[in-house]
Amino acid sequence: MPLQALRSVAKSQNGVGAFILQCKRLDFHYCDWAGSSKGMKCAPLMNAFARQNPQIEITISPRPRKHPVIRGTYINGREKAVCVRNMEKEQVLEKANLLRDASGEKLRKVTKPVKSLNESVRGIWDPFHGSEWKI
Amino acid sequence: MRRIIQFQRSIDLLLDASAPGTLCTTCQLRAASLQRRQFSSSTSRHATAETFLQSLEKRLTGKNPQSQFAELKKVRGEAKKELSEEEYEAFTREIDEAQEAPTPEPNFLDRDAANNPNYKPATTWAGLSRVGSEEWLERRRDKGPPYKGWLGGKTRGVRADHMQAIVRHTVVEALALQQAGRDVLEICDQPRGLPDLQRMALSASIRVEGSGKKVNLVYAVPEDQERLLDLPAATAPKDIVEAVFETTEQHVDLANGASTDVIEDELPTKPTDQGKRDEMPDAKDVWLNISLDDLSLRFAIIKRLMQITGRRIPDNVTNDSSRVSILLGALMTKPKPKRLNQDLRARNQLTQVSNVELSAKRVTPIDKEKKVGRWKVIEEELLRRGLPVTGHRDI
Repeated sequence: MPLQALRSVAKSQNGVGAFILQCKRLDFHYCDWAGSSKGMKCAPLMNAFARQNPQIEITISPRPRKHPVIRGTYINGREKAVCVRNMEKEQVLEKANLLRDASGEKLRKVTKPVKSLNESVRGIWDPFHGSEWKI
Repeated sequence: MRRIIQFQRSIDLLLDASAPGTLCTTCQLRAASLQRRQFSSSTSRHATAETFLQSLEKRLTGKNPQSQFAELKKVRGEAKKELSEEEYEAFTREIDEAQEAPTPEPNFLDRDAANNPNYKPATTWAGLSRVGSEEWLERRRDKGPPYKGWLGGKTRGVRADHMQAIVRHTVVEALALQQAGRDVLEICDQPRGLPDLQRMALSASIRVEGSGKKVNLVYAVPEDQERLLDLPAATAPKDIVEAVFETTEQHVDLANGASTDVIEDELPTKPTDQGKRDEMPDAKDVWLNISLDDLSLRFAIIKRLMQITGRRIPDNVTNDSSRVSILLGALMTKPKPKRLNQDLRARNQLTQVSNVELSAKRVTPIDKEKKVGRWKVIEEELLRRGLPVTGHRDI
């Protein structure tokens, strides 16, 4: 019988070969009247951000009588929104960068910071090897 | 604890005192509520035939308006003796128009059955007056004194060279009035549409001495001074603005080398004309140093400029404009756009970036569906089912 290949799903390793940015769209919403939108209403800031990130679709539209919001849409279909009310333009830029760098996954508490596909180097513990336990 | 008004307290006491002991609580309460409804502490007002304005006038002046008609009759008689026929006709026409007294409203007290023994209640509504409609209310409403705004209303985008010419000729006209000892605010009442007035103002040279407080006007032609001061009657602000704009643009375009047939004969001709037409005869920036410390002059010039350009000059600019140059600088700076969308489009930066989409209005869910192309299908299905496409069925 000829050798049959193992049927397995391809393991995604974004960045090993090509890198695909997870954030596909950023919506900037502001209010012309409210004072909380002052930090977002900075034309040079938006211009610079849009030019630095040509791979992201950016929309700028008013959302009257509401606080300013940046809403990011990701490849996995999820959305993340950050309210930037009463922030300065530098802080708004920080939040925009945060959303751009995020994936669409939910925010989780990280207990084990290292994830690896490789097997453990020294093997998984078993009671039959190693120091003896005597009663 | 509920706050009890003083008179309510006294009513309660009164009712408590007068309530007989034999009545049950329910009957006492019913009687108390009936009495409370009848009691009113406000002053009684009777229906009068006077409108609010008439009663106010009577109270303020202490005069009966009917006596004023008698006085006018006297004046008419005197005018007839002194004026010619045509003048008297014009005079009486003006008085008649002003004296159209409103027809007094009927006194409804006369129709009261208690006062009128011949009163019979109507069986049909023929001949009865209707009350309570929107038009009836509108007729009775006190609209207050009639007010005509002096600001043109329409804001115009003015070119920098036009703005300079407008400011200059306004300053010249104001100075001409000031030097003639007349009220400077008269420039705001006058139409400046006549081309020769513009020409006279633009061709006058300004000599400024000292720190800009002493100014001399030297006219190209000596008769210009009289003609500039002999100002025609006032017209509507709209006419002033339209006319000024047309003639100013023509003058400035001619100075810049454009050709116009209309105004060819009315160009200012300087004695030392060196080939350039309509050039400001004085040095370039002399008129900019004119001092505006005289507040009456400053206000008159600012008001006139607001009339012509349609732009409101803010109070801080008015306060800081101690020189013509400061005022001109404030007028030359474009006002900041009110909406971010307008600002972004005016800067023309984001419109050129391909990954950016600007929207002037709120993006609704319908807009998102339309973009994807799903809206047509949704709308069709909603209509097929008889459901409202937007909003609710009952609203």
